[in-house]
Amino acid sequence: MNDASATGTLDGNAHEFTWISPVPPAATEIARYSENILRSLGGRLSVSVAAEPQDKVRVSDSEIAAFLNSLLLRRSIAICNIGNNYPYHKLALEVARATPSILILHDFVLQHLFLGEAHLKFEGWEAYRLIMRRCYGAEGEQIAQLVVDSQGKLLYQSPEICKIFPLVEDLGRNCLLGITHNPTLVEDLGRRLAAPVVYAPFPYDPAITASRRPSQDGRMRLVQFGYLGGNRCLNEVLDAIALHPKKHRLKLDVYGSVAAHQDVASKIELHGLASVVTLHGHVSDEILDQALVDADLVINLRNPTMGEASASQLRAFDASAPSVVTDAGWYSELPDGTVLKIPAGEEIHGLSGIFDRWSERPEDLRSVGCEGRRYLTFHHRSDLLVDVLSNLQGEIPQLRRNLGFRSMAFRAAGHARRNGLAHPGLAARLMERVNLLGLQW
Amino acid sequence: MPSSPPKRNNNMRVIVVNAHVPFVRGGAELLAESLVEQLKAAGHEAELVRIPFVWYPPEKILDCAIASSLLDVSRFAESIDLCIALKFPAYLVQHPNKAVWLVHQHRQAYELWNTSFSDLTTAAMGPEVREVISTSDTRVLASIPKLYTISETVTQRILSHNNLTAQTLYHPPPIADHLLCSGYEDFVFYPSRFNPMKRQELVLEALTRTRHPVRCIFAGAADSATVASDFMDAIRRFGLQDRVQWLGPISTPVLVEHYARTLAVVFPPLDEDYGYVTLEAMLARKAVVTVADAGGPTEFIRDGQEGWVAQPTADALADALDRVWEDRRETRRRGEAGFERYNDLGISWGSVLEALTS
Repeated sequence: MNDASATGTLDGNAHEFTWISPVPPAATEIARYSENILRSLGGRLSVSVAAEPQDKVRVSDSEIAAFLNSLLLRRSIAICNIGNNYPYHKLALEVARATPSILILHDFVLQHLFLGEAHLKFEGWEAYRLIMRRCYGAEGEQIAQLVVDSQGKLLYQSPEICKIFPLVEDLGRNCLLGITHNPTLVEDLGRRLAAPVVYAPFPYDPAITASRRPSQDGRMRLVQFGYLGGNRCLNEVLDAIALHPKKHRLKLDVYGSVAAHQDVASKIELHGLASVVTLHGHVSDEILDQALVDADLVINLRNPTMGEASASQLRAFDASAPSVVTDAGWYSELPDGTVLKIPAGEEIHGLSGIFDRWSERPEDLRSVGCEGRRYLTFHHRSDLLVDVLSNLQGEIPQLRRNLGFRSMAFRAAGHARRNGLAHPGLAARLMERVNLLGLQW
Repeated sequence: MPSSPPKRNNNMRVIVVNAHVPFVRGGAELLAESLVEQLKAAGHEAELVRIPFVWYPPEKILDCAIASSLLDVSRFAESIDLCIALKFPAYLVQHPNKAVWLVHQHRQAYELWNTSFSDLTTAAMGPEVREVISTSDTRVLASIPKLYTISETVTQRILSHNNLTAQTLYHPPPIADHLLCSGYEDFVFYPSRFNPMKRQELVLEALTRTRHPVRCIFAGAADSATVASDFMDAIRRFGLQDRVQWLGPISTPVLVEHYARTLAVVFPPLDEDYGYVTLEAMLARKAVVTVADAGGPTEFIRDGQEGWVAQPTADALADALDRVWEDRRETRRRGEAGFERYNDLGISWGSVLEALTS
């Protein structure tokens, strides 16, 4: 009798991978992240790079088909970097949907990604509604109508909506493996993707060498930077500054893209903050690094958090910049003493308290910055992620097997559901069969 | 209702389960029907159950596999004593007394992978489906005590791909009792389905390189209209209209007649599972011209004895056909040797049924 635990002997050829992400000079931290990790990978993995096209807002169907075809011909496995900023992740999104891929999920909540897709690719909001329905049924469709109206105006979004309807499920169908930089999300992501998920710390090797310069006017130097969408609490920051009795002892420099730029500019004018707040737009890495090193406080609030591990925060750590974060998600896992934390919804009060604290004992905040850099050095070495990626070579057959069996079960369940054959025991029955056939979960 | 213990050997209720692509009829379909006939002739109740099989896009294979796996064929009104499964995914069905007489696995996942014959290779989910096929094959077939194959070629494949040991059971071709020899006329004969793996075009190329005006009659249905038109174009392109004839699909009497009259049979498929053509030729006392990578035929035809085993090139095949054509006595001798060898091998349905119903 043959050994029932025997495994087959399919060929063990080495695999080639294609890394899909924005690359420098794209103005996103994920571009720097990719540059760093690809350099660190060296020869440990055979990887080619497909840069997200930055000269257009959408990728055409023919371009997608051509790219997918090239992946097939090269037998290359896609590693898709997925984040919330659609222009930076449009190709990865298409590939992740079309072909078995490894996903690096820079955000857990992908509401903005799909809103961006609906707006920029489909030029309408029906696509968003359809995805919400596909992922969450009738309830999702109802929620979609709360979030955005038929003209595309964003009506409402809350942490609760983001948490319950993250839309990450839409990427589960072809997911060979999910990689997250947020250890608190492994279980939830694994359940939502119905795929194996592993954690690796966000890779960030300290590189800033700029020296801190003394303040020229004695004001507290505040910095916000990055892609400042609605969840970055810029409005709350402006309110906190405007309401502070010593607002003219504060100086806020904002670097990067500001969503609703005109609204923000109007608010600055309205509050008489023109001499306090400067919107710089995008600047060079050297200028931004220097600003971070000089900062008395980097404001890196997120409400709601999208589940991301924050490259921005790690950059602030690199600069030894004292920083304040929202006490939620990945940020809440940062050790006390490496950052200042403000509960969600208490931004104005929390910031005001920090401004006062700096005014009384600036050295307290400086020590937080130093602790942050120490934490970065030990806990976010890029070799930790490099090890995870290098191990992919040997894990691909098992991951493929796993995805194949999952697809088998999900397709059968889908057929049953569409034909009115679903019943309470169906899932268990199907899992029993695929387990017998060889699924190792 | 408690199930009665399965009966052994005599008067069993047997279902033969086969995967079937509608409108395709080849050796596997003939084998399945023959097996059912032989089981009935041996006194068993037997029925053929066909499971429709769709293989493209590759995700459909997953659907067919789980559907087969969900099928419990142990009881239909009364107990089924024995289930004999022949192909993937039919052998995934559930039955407590299951025997597998493997015609072939899903070859596109194995020896045809990375060739132009496997559409899995170039499909997005192809590698994943391949892994599923391999894993489930290994898992399920390893759990079946009665694991047999139709040929040494298939036995070696399952050992190589899945590390599983199986026993080979040869069986007679369906028309064995009808075959005879009535002479050796001026043509060679190639009866088979038309598709790229049967390599009929290789024979055409060889015919353009023979020294002698070897004539060849082809018979059989093409797997598709494209295959048919390509073949006809090739005949014209090679200028072989006077030497080549394609009969299309033919009846059994016409087939038997051509075996009886032909000088020799040419059969150079790529890695054939078994090859009824080889055995039919041997029973008709006709030498076989085959090639070294033909698979099943090379289990029966030895170069210089029952026929010619050439290298799979047009030149080598042409050389063999020339030898067939110019030395008629030797050709007849090898044909007779084939008949003797067939008898020496003891190929019979009796040994097949004894193993499967044990």
